[in-house]
Amino acid sequence: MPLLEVRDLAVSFGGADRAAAEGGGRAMAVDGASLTVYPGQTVAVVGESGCGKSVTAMSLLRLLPSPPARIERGIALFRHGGGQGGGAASVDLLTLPERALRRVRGGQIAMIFQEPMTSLNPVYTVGDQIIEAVLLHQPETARTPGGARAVALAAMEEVGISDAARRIDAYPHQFSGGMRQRVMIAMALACRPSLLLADEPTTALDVTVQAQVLALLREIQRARGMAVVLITHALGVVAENADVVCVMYAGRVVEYARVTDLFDRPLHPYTRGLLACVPPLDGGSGTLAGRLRTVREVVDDPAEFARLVGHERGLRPWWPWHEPPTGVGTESRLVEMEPGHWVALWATSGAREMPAPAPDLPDRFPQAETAAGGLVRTGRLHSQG
Amino acid sequence: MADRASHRAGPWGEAWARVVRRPGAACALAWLGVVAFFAALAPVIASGHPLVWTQRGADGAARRTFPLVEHLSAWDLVLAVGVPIAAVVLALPGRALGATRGERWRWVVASGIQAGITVAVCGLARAVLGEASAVTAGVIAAVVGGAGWLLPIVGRPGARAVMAVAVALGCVAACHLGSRVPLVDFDRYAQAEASGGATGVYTLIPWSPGQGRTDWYVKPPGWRVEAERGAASGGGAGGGRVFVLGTDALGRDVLSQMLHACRLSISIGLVSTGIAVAIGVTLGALMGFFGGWVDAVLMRLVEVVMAIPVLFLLIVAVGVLPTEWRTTHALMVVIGCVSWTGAARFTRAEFMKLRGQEFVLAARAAGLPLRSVLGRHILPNAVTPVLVDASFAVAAAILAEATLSYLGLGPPEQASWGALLAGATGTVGDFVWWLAIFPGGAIFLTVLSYNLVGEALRDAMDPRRRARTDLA
Repeated sequence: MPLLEVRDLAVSFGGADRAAAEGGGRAMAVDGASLTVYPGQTVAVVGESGCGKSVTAMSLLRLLPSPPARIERGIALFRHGGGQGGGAASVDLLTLPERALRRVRGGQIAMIFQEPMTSLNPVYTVGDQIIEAVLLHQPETARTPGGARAVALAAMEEVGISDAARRIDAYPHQFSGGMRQRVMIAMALACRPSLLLADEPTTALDVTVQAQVLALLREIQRARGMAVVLITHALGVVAENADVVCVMYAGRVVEYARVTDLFDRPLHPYTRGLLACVPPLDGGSGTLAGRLRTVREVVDDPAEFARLVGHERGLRPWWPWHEPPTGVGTESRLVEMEPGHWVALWATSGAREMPAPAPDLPDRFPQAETAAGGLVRTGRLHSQG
Repeated sequence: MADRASHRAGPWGEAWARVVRRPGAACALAWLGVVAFFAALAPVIASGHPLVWTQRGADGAARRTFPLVEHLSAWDLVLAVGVPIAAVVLALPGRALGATRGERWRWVVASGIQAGITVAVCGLARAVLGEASAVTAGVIAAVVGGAGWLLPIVGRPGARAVMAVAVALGCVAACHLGSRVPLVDFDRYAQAEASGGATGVYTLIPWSPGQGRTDWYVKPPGWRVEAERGAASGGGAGGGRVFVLGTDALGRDVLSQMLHACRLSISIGLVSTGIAVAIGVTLGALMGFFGGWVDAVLMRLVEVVMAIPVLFLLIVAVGVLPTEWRTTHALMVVIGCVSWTGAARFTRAEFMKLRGQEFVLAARAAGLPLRSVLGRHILPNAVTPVLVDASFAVAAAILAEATLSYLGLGPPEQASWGALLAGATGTVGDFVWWLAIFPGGAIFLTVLSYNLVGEALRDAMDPRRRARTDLA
C-alpha cells in the first residue's frame, strides 16, 4: 500500500509584471510530475537547479506563497497513520483544508531544508524550538512537567548530539553546520512522522559531515520504517541511499526506475549525460582518454536519442530543446518501456499505444550491518506487496 | 553543569552585555536606576506627613498613628512594595526560585503589566461607579488585570496562576488602602508640635511636593525654617528643617518636587512609548508580512500621521480637552498615538526581510499556525531596531512634556521638572538659579542617559560590528 501517490502535479508561477514582460502566460515550474512512495522506501528526486524538484516537495505541504504560485492540477494522496498496515484513510494534500494540513505538517510529513545556517531561529534555544514542535503535535506530553523536554532530549540523543542535556539549552549560533543539520533532523523527527521530505539536506555540508548525516538518516529509517523523499543533485548520494530514482528536467519526470536499473541501463539521454559526468575510478570504457563527456555533448547528439528501443516505431525520448515530432505540440508521456522503468517520450501515435501507468515501484533495498558497525545496502531487492 | 548552561546568553543577552560594558551606557543606566528608585519610593522618602505621630491625649495616654502610610495612594503603595520586591527577585544570582534571570524578567514584566492594568481599572471603576461600590470595583479590576496574563510572556501555567493571584490580591488591597490624596493642611502638624501636644518622626525629606507657604517664597538652597513662635521643643516643630535645594514661587520644596517628578519622567516613557510601540509594531507587522494592498493602504495612513506636527497637536489638545482630562497622562497618550510611525516603518522593513528566511519556512513546515509564526518567530527577530528607536523616543517624550509644563500647559498640581523650570525666570524677571540648574540638570541627565543607552543598543545590535561567533 503506497504511502504517498503524486499524480500529474503541475505548479505554475506568475504575476502581473511577468505577464507584461514575457508576453503573457505563467511559468510552469512543475508540469505533470508523478511519483509513488512506499513506507520505509527512499525515493530520490534528481535533477539540476531549476528542474522543479524543490517546488514539487514544497507544494506537497503547500508551503509555496499563494499569489505567485498556483497548483494547476494534480493530486497527492497521502495515507494517514502511514506504516505497513492498511486501512488508514487517504487524503489529498493539495485540497486539504488548512487546519488539517497543519496537523499533517510536522506530525505526519516532516521537511528538512538545505541551509542549516538559517533554518533555526536565532533568538530561541535549540531545546525551545524542538519542544515547540513536540508540544504542537504531541500535546499529551504537556501534561507531565518536563515531558516535552524529555522527548526533545531523546530526539537529540537519537541524532547523535553528544552531551545533549547541556546542549539543549544552547543557541543555534553555538553549533556548527553539521550539528545544526542534526538539530533540524531532531526537530523533524521528534514527532515521529511517517514521511520525511529532505530538500538537499547535505548540499551545504562538507563530505565527511555529509556521510554522517546520510548514515544517520539511514539508521533512523531502518529503526522506524520511515519513508524519505531525498531531493539532491549528487548522484553518489543517490547511488548509496536511494531505492527508487526519479529524474526531473524542466518540470517533468524524465526517467523513473529502481536505482540499480537506472545506473545499469539508463534509457533517457539526459540521464546518460548526468552519469557521464561522474568521473570513473578506473578510467572506464567509452570515455575519451582522460576527458569527461558533458551533459551538453550527450543531449546534443542525435545518435543518443536514436538508441532508444522502438526508435523505428517513432518513439523518441522527450527533450524540450528539440523540435517536437509533427502534430505533437509540447505533450510528453511517461511510458513504461521496461517493467519497472519509465521514460518520458514525445506523445507520438506510437508512444500513445504503449502502456503508461503511473510510476509505482514498491522496491526497497534492505540495509545490513557491516563489521565496522555501519549500514550498507545489500544487492538483493526486497519487494513489498 | 545545568546552571552554567542556563547562564548561556542568547543574542539579546549578549547584546545587553555589550551595552553594559560601555562606560557611557553604564553611567546612563546608573542614573536611570537612581531615577527609577526615586520614582518608586519618593512618597515614602519625601513627605510632609510624619512617619509616626504620637499624640498625647487629654488623659495622658499616647496614641500612635502613621499619617504617612495613611496618605499613600494606591499607586504609591503598589510601587513602594512591588519595585523593591522586583529588584530583589531580579538581583538573585543564577537559577534562583527555579528560573533563570531571563524568565524572572518575564515574571516581573508580566506582573507589572497586570498591576498597571488592575490599578488603573480600579481607579476608573471607582470613579465611574462611585465610592460605595468599592468591592465591585475591586473585583472588576482584578478580573481585567488578570486578562493581562493572556499575553504569552510567561510560559509555565502553574507559575503564571500563582503570580496572577498574588499580584491581583496585592493590587486590590492597595486600591482599598490607598485613598485619594486630599488637600492637607500641613500646618496643623507644626502647630500641634509647637503646642507640645504631639511629636512626630519625619521621613528623610520632610516636605510634600504640594506643601507650600507664601512666607517660604523663593528661598535659596540651604535655607532653614525658623522655629514656630512659642515653640518649646527645638527639633521637629517645623524649626530646624532645611530646604536642601530651595523653594519655588509657591514656597514648595524643590528637592521634594524633583523626587516626585521622577515618577512622571519614568511613566512618560512607559506610557507614550509603550502605546507607540504597540500600535507601530502591530501595523508594521501586518504591512511587512502581507504586503500587497494591505501594505499600500496602511502605508498611506502612516504617511498621513507622520505629517502631523506633534508639539502643535499637543498644544491644541490641551486647549480642547476638558479640564479634568488635562492630566499629563492624557497628553502622553496623545503623544503615543501620533509617534508610532517610526516603529511601524522599522517593523515593516524587518518583516519583509524575515518572511523569506528559512527558519520561517521551517516553522510553517512544522505545522505552526500563522499567528505563532508571526508572533513567536518573526517578531522577536524584528524588534531590534524598534528597541533602539524606542529609547530615543522616550527621550523625546520627556523633552516634549518638559516643554509643555514650561509653557504652563501641564496640569498645575503635578510635580514636574518642566514646571519647576518655568519658575526660573521669576516674577520680576530676575533669574532664580536653583530653579534652573537642578531641574534643568535632571532633565539634561535623563535625556542624555536615554540617548546614550539607545546608541549603545544600536551599536550592540549592529551585525557588522558584532564579533563573529559562528563556528562553521
